[in-house]
Amino acid sequence: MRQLPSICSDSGHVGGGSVFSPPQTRNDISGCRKKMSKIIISDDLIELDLGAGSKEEVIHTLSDRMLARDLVKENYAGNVLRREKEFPTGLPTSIPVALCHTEAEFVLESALAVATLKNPLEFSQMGSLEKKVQAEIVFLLALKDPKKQVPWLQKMMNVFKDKDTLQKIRYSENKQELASYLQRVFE
Amino acid sequence: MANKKLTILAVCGSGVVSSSMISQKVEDTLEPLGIEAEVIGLLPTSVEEYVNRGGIDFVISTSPIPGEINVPVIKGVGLLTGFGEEEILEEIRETAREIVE
Repeated sequence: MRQLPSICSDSGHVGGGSVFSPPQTRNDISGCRKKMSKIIISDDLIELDLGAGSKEEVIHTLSDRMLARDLVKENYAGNVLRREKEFPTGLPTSIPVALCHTEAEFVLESALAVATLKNPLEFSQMGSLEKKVQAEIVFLLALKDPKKQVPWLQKMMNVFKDKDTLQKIRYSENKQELASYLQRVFE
Repeated sequence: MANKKLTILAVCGSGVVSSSMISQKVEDTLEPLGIEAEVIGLLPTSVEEYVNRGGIDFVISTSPIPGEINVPVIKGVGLLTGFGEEEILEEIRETAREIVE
């Protein structure tokens, strides 16, 4: 997809941009695939076998990890939860996951936090408020400039589709090893 | 056959996260058909107005879209999970073929 021409002036795409006055909500993603900013993945942003009782608790726990490193703003967790209500992120993958995130304005540095859950937690399914998934892995994604992270997001999609990768994450017993593994996956 | 170009909206709650995930898939699916896809990420609430201005061939979305959308809308969540993926890709190919023919 294309990036906003203003951000990615070398995208080489002008057709759509000249036809429409660009609303702020529009993201032209096709152009800047090569541009990519770093996304922090580290053992202190990982919780294994987390005994959380609600999705709110998981999101707060992971957000606190991000806050401790000044990766997100104080109101990040609250806005992830607000957004989750409106646009749920549960995915019925081979091992069900949630991909919680919120707007870039609450993010200071891009990072991915991960929790594997002792007991699966109910999330609404993406694209539907009625359907539920029992998530076993929660990804909390803080993206400072998601339009520059398109290749990274496409790798994330491949993780969701790959049962072996999800199993490695789900049954990981060591934060450092999981962090190294994820760093390689997203390299 | 000369290359055809379609303009497609990829829609998700953030206008970029899951729409970015599926964009490459859409482009890669249409390329072998000789169809070039220009994919634009958008928020659900902006879709109706955007489509009404014209120039959009179809929409693929991971979120429900409010309003009356007068172009085909394809549900895209299965592209993220891999379940039902081939059916969605076929729907993309069929929709695109009907538009260019």
